[in-house]
Amino acid sequence: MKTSYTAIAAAMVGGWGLLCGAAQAQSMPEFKFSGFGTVAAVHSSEKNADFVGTVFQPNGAGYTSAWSLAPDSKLGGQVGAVFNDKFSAVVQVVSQHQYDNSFTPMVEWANLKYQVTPEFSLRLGRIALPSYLLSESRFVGYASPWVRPPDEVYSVLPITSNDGVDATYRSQIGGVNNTLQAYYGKSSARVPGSTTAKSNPSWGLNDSVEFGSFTLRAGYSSMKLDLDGVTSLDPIFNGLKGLSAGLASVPMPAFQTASAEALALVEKYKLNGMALSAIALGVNYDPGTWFVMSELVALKGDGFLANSRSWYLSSGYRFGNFTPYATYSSTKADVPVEPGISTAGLAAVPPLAAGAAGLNAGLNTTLGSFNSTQSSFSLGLRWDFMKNMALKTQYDRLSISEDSHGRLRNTQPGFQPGGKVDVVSVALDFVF
Amino acid sequence: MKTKHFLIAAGLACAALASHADIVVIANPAVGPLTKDQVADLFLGKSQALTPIDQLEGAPIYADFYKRATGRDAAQVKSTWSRVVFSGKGQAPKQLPDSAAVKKAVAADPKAVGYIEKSAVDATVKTVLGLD
Repeated sequence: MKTSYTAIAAAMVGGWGLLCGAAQAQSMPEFKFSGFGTVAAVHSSEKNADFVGTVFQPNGAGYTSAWSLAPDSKLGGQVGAVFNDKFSAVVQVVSQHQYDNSFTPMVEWANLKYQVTPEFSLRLGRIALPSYLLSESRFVGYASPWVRPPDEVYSVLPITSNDGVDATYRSQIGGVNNTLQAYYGKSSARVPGSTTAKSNPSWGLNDSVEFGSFTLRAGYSSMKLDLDGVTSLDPIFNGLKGLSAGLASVPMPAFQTASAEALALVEKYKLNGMALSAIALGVNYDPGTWFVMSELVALKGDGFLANSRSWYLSSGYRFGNFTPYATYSSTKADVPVEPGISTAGLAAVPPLAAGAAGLNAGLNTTLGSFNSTQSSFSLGLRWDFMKNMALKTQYDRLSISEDSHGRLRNTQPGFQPGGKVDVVSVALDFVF
Repeated sequence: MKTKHFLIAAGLACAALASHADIVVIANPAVGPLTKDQVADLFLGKSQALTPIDQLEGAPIYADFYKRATGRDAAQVKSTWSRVVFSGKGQAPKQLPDSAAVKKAVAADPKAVGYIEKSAVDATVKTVLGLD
């Protein structure tokens, strides 16, 4: 058994063969395989939209099927390799519901770590993006009290891994463990509808402090986001460009101004080079018999992505193998009202005036659809019924704002914003 | 009826606990005394200052040690370590079959820290914390 794991691991980290060779001179590298998974069924009461586990899923529970295994089920495997005191590597592969409606396994991490000193380490390769308190273990249901991390917060920064480098400095003063981390690289994720979200560069800093039962965390992340392959907005961009040309042909100041405004809007809402940044703060207090955890994230948006503030507060109490918990979670986007092209002076040419008004409305509709405002209240129970397994059940009551579809996806023509949605989940989490 | 069974079970569990010998945390003679918080940090993956050596998950001393040192039961310890392991931040401690093996490993490694019954301590290792 051990041999076959070693063989798989060796094949997976084949790219580092050279290093393995170098390390072999000292001692055999040590490989360790571990895995995790979740089988979860989710029901949503909203029949005209889908409740999804991540924004990268094309469908889920509600419209597509009343009960769905897609949102939260996943399987992950990880191989850790220790070559010597200085070098180690980790590869993590996760299979979960993807943009293309498949469960194709994806390489979440594949990185090499160089322990420069006992306190200071460097990593190179694909590394988990440390956006939140639990983001490095966000797929591991067994490691968390809930069926899924609070979506209103964890969906704000949905990309989970980064290709590049990071540096970590750990220090210990008295009973306080401090970890300071900086990363730089680029990341990409496939979104349903042949879109790829790419960030280049993607960088950030974060610091976490652990003392006694407390964990405090503060992080800053910065992205330059490109959304490639989005065709749904072409009518707006083409419309603005065409209108600009049309307006330019009318030799009156109001039309010349409006023409320039139309082109400026194309630039303002372009889907390339959107500069986003986020500040995330988190606190966890877990003395053993109970816990309270809270995180907040403030996103500074660009283009169609508005500024938003999101937070959650969750607490649970452990009665032996049973852990009931409650969570309140909220995300609020400050969707700007786009005044768009000044239509006041365009009355002389009614078709151009109507075109400008139509595009202004289209821009505002798109702003609404790109941004989510919703809150949810959840009650759940975790039951550690046997070794390495936990059974969870969770009820979520979502309140969706009147001007958005919240975190729901795949909205159908009959969908009414501003409603309440009941979501029920049953999940079996395991590690091996 | 159920309550009665529960009470009997709880009573037996308490009796089992009381019958256990005191547990001590041991380290190489070169290591200074440790506080309970430091031991908890090491055995929950929060600190890498020393290398924790574990006993078998099924051993009675395992559950006792974690309850006393960290206030957590076996399932919580497993959940905590799965967070550490699947964050790529470290590997769960090596589990050795018995106290003699733990003592041998601790004596051989100046950075190792383990736990055994107080009665099993000898001159090869140093007691750095008592967990009564």
